Amino acid sequence: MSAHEEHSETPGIGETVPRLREEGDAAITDPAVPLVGDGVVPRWLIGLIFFALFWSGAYLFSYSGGFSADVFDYLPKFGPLTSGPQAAPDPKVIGKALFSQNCITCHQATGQGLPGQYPPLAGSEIVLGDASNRFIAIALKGLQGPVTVKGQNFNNSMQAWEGQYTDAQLAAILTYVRSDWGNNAPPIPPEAVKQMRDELKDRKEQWTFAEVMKLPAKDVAKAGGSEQQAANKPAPGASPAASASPAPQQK
Amino acid sequence: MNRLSKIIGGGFVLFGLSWWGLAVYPYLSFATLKANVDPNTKEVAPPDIPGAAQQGYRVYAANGCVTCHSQFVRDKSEGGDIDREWGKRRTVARDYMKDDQVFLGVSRFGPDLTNVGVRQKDAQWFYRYLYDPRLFDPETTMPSYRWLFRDQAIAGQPAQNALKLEGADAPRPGHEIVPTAEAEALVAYLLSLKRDYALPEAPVSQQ
Amino acid sequence: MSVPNQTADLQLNRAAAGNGSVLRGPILLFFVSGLFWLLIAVALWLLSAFQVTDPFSPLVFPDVAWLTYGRVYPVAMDLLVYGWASMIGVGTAIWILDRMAKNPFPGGYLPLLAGIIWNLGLVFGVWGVLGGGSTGKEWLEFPLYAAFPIWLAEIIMAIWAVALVIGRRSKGGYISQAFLLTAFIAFAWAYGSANGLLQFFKVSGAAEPAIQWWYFGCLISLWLTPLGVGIVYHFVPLLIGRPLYSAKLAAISFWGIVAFGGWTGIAQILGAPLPAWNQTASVVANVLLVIPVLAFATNLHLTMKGSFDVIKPNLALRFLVTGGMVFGLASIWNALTTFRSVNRILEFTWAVTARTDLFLIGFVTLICFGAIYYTLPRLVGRSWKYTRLIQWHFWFSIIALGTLVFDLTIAGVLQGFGQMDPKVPFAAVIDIIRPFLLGYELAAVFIGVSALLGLASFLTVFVNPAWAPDSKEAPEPVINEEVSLA
Repeated sequence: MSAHEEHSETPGIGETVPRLREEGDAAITDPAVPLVGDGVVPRWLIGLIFFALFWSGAYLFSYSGGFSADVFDYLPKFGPLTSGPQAAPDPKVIGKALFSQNCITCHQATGQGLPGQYPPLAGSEIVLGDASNRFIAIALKGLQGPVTVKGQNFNNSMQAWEGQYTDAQLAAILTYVRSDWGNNAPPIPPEAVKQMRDELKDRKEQWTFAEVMKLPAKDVAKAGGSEQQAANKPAPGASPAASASPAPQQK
Repeated sequence: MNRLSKIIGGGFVLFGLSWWGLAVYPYLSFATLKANVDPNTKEVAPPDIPGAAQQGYRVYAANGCVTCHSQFVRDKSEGGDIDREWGKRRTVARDYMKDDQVFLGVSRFGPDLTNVGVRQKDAQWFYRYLYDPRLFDPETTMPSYRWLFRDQAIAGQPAQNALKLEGADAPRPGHEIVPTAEAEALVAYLLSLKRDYALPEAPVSQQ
Repeated sequence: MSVPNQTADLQLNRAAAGNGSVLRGPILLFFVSGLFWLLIAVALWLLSAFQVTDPFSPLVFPDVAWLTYGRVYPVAMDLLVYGWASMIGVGTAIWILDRMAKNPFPGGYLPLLAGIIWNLGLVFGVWGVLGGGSTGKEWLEFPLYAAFPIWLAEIIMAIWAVALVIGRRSKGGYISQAFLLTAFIAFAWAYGSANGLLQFFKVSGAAEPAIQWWYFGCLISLWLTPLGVGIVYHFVPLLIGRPLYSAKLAAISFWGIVAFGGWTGIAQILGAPLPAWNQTASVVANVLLVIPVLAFATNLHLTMKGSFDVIKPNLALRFLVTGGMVFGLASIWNALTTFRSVNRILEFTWAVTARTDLFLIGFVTLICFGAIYYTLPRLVGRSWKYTRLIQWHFWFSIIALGTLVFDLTIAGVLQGFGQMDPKVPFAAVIDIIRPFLLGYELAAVFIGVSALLGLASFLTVFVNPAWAPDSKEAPEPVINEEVSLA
């Protein structure tokens, strides 16, 4: 009466039809219910299962960043993260952040300023010119009254920033201003700002444009103001050359 | 009965493990994230999302932008995203902590938009692109989203954000094409997509 | 007593007036709505394929918001999963669970209720997504007012399934019961918790994609996979009249899928801002999932061994076994492409789409049609009228699947190598795949044709006279001349 006998009697397929499981016997009387054999699991599959589990464990423990929620890279980052020399922060990044806190109000995120009031920084001859001492001087002491930049006239007031920012911070801002919106002039080192701060420490009031233009042109951005660097003066409006800032050439 | 409860019980446990590991665990661990404040600049990263941009999530979602555009940058070990300059660094969980809606996406049939606000800062550019992508690339695979714009008669002064269109796209005389509120929200959202700040767990690699 | 045979099976069904009549309505409801949604899905897919190939073709309507690609394509995919595959899967599962349990109170109104609510949810979903209410999360686009009814219907189905099995009269169990029960419970849990967390509790930030793609893994591996595998496990032994080869292999396939299935989804977004261990665990799960799939394929193969010649004449079996083979292929392909060294190239490309399509259009759709071809004649007491039509349907399905997957995979590989090379501009990467989009269009047309052929053969059953109970012929589609040749 059991299907078991029926199957094993069927010629030709006796080998492949395995013994029926006992639990299934209740179902045998119903032909609409499939029957289950008791076939063995092939050896290759058992081997594969163990291999796959072993591999998985190894992979999981090697590339899981120590199961930490704040490790996102599966490959461990080699090299010390906290000890050892750290890369100095990019002054342009810091400069940009500081710029967007104060300077942006007048000179705008685009560096274009506002017509008639605040002069543009993009392509400005004050910003990009060799007379970087004037640029720094304006930033330190502020400016009052009419200004001419790129042939346009502007008239408003700029406050002094010497009390607000350290040498390094001011240098970062000025370096950033010289590098964005198509500007491409060498960075202003903090030493140059310090030098100008010392030179002008007696001046208390804001500059007028005429006064500041009377300052003898001096490229304090270059160590010692070397004249040969002047040939490198980039054309205003040159395309932004990625982040490749020229390394300060000493000697 | 015994086997049934074993199956259901075992299924619950095994399935629950994945639920805990992949859904609950990230939720719990990201819930405690705080914005990073740079000690030098006091810059907050990620920055707050402007109100106008927060209206844009809905428009981005409704129109299935995610079908073609992704919004995450993979580490160098996972793909060539940084070389392709989709971003200067990989994105991490903190980048999205202030986002109401996150659309990572799995297709780059269109460009990655993680940092589209860094690449393009001009709203007018986005408006014109959405209105007619062929203005920028005649071979583009992006469809036009003209219905995000309104054709209206110029009343007095032309509208400030009217689209500058020429040729075949130019509006009828005396009319102008202006973005609808939906387009404005979408563009504000796209402009806000800037993940270019540095985070301690994802420093901007310096070459 | 002989080996299971279809004649007795059919007689049994017709004789069992209680169960047969109570559940016939719900099953037919699920089948008819499944086919209806398949047609809508394929039509929308076809439209989206033309739109994506040429964004300025006359089939693109830049002034009509609800017909834009970004809305049409997600609706097509959602309908394919929640309309077509799920509906047919549920309908067949009702059939199988009822036959297995022999519960004197099959509670037919519950599946009927679930079917109606589910359809309502789909209508809301299509309306919502086309109308601009999409959530923008792939595979979870339906807004809350559409997701909730669907979830409710799933809950009802899960309760019905568990109640049916608990109150069963039959002593023995069978592996497909375990698969189908698991599918019902897991899907209700996954769909409910994903929609609940994302839409109701409004989880925000990087946890969103984690939940979303965890859900995708469940959708594929713990809903559609167990449905399909359960159906194959059930019908193949019946169709060839032999027992399933091994209970042990069946158990391996079951526990493997349950253990690894839920972890597979995150591998879709490798490199995402999620903890590294989540992503690595997902890669591992995708690889380990090959074990249960191989156990299933081996079981199927050893069950079929010696009976492979039946595949040719018996078209229901042909659909089911081909579907099972495509499933094995899809899983292995899935495991191979999940490795980070491969994924870094293929991620974000059309090859990923091809991988999902191989599963949806290959495995799931073939199994769904196989299940229809097996159950429908037994359900309505009529046999298939035009077996030639079904043969055409089979070959068109295979051609459509081959064209789609082959075309998109090649396109995706080229796209992947293109986007790996930063010297190739992005527009040039897209140019690489442009010619392949024509193949994609063609494949979409083939899919449309095969869907129409399937519908035609479904409808022609009803013009056939009632199947004679004393007939020697099997009710499922069998090509007679080829039987005599064999």
